[in-house]
Amino acid sequence: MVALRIAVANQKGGTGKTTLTVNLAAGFHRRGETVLLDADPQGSAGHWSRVGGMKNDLPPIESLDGREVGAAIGRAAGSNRYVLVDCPPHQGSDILRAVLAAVDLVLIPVQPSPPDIWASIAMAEAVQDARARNSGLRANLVLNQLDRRNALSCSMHEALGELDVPVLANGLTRRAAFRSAALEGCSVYGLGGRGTSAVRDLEAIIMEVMGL
Amino acid sequence: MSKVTNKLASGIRKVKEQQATPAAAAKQPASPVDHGKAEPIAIPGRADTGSFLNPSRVWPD
Repeated sequence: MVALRIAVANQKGGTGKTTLTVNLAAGFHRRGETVLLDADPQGSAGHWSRVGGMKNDLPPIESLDGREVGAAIGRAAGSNRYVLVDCPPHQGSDILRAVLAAVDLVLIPVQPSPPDIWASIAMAEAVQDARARNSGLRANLVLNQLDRRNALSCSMHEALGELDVPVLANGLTRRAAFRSAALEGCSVYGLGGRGTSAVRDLEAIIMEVMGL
Repeated sequence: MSKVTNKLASGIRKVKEQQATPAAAAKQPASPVDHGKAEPIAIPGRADTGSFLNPSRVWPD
């Protein structure tokens, strides 16, 4: 089995790494065996799952400590179709370096705010460094919390052309469903009709990622 | 290109330039103020009183 290994990373906190990882993992879980590896010491993905209890619709979530990160990702890839890794919010961390050396794709969530964009510049450089150890590493920025009525949101795609990392055509719109999902400990897929628009956003991202 | 896009793109270019020369940006002169870390110097002519942090007497006269 050849697994698709995806890391979700950004050195800046609050960009929506965990929200994107958890919901992407739920979307991939509907397509095949999936595991979410939580490399963030805050353990938010694990908390998310525990809030939902046994009835949540999330794939298994395993905590990834600082040791043998590459080996752990390799083991997960041996028994799953999709492996997602929620990364810690530190660019210089050894864990992040080890994760970037062991995955196929890194998704970098960026919100439509200048500090988020500036932080993603350093992430783009971290990706360049990681390619010295993992030449096949692909990377894409993913726009998060988009609001079509907001001028910054509308300018993001064009402005981010200045970076060396391409932006996915599809992103996540700011929606209450993502907060509701965290509140209930499930993914937006598990919200039924309340999550329809959010699921549409996620499905578009998943289809784009699978076509890369 | 809209005004907002121009500003965003210009900001990205500036940050990229700054990050390309981190050594120059990080090199700041050291502050001459020690923020009370060092012990005060003994005042000439006032022998046997110790320093503020290590007084030779603990009881007032």
